[in-house]
Amino acid sequence: METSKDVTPMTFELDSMDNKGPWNKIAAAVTDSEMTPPASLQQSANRKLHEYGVDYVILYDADPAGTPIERDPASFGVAEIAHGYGAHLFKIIP
Amino acid sequence: MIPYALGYVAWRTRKIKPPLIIAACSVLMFAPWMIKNWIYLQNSVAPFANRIFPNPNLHVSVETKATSWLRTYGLPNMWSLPLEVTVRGEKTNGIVGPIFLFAPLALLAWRTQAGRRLLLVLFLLLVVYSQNVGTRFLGPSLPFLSLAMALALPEVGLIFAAVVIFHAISCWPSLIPRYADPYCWAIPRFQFQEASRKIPQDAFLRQNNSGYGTARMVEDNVPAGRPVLSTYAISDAYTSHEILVSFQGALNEVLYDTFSMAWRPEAQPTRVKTFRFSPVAVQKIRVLLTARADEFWSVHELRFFHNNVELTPGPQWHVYSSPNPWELQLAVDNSPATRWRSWEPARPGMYSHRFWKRPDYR
Repeated sequence: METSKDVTPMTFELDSMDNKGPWNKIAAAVTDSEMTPPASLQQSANRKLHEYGVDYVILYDADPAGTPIERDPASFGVAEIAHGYGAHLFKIIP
Repeated sequence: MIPYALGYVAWRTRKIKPPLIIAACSVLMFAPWMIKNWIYLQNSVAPFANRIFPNPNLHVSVETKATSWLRTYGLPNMWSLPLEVTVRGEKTNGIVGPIFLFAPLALLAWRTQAGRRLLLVLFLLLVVYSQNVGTRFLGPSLPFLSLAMALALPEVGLIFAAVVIFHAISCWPSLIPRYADPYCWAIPRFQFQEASRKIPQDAFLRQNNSGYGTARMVEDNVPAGRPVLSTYAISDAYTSHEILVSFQGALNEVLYDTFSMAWRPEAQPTRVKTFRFSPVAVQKIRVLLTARADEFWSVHELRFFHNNVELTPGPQWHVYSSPNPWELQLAVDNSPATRWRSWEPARPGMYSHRFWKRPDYR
C-alpha cells in the first residue's frame, strides 16, 4: 500500500474471505519503507486532468504555488495564456 | 419553522385540516428541491448529511469544513458577533446597522402576549442563524426583532421617529465607511451614473469585481465548452464555461489534489506499507483500519504481488472501500499522481477491499 507523509502512520490489519465468509484475519508480516516518487509526477498529474477533460486552470497570486508556477510554467507542464485581476489562466500541457 | 407553524395552527384551530393544508403547501415548496437533489446528488438534503447519505458528489470533509466555518466566519469568539454584524461587518460580510446594538431591549416585549409570540419566533430563527452567522442570514429574524424592539419602547411617537431617523442616518451609504471596517460589504455611495449605465456595466464590474474580470478572461481565452479548474470561486454567472472550484465538489477536490501533487512533497507517494503472508486461497481481501486518526486515510496505490511479481488487474477484479467507494479506482489506476482518500478523519472499521469474481484467485 503506497501512501504519503501528510497522514500520521496508521495501523491496519489484513483480512480475507472465501466463498462462505466471514472475514478472517491474515497473519501478515507488516513492514514500512520509503519510496521515491517518480520525477514525472507533474506530467502524470497533467495527463490525468486531461483524461478528465480539464485542460485549463486558474491560479492566483495568493495561491501557495502561484508564484513558482508563474515564474517557470514550463517546468509545471503549463503555459500561461492570460493574466489579470490577481489571477493567471494556464493551459495544461498533458 | 414549518413544525412551529403546524404546531401553532393546530393548537389555535384544534382541527386537523388547517395544519394539513399548511403541510401540503410546504411540501409543494420544498419537495421539488429535495427530489432534484436526490436525482442529481443522491442526497435529498444536500449539501448536508453526507455522512448519512454518502454520495459521489460531495465529500464529508467539505461539509464539515464549511459548517464549522459558517458557525464562526473566523471570529475569535462569539462575544464579538454583535459588534461584527452591527458596526464592523468585515468577517460576516455586511452590517445591519448600529441600532441593532439595542436588540436586547426586545426582551422587554415579553411583557405582552404579542411580544412573547414575536420572541418565540425570533428565538427559533436565531437557533437556525447560529449555524450560519453571516450578517445576511439575520434577514429572516430582523422583522420579528424590529417589532419586538418597537413593542419594548414607550408608546411615544417622537421616540419611534427618533429611532427610525437614527437608523436611516447611521446606515446612509456615505456614513458607513466612517465606522465600519474598511472591508465591510457596503454600497459606499449612491451610484446613479452606474445604475443608469452612463458608466458601462462592463467597465464598472471590471473595476469593482475581480471575479467578473477573471470570468471574462476565461470567456475570452478558453475554447467554448471547456471546463476550467480554479482554486477560488469567480463570478461564474459571467462566463459560459463550467468553473470547477477546487473545494466545491468531490471531483473538483480530486482534480486539484492531483494537479497540485507535484509541488506538495507531503502529498506524494513516499511511504510503502507491505503486508507479507503465505499464499492463501481467497475471494476477497481487505485492508482494515484499526485505529482512529485526525487525518484522512489516503492510498496512492494498492498493489498485489505473488512471488514478487505484481498481479495485473483484470476485468475479474473488483475493488470497494468504505467510505468513498466511488474513488477507490484512483488507488488501482497505476498512476502516482492520483490517490484515494477517505475525505473524513480515519476511524476504525474503514476498509478497502479487492475481490475476484471468478474462483481463479490465488
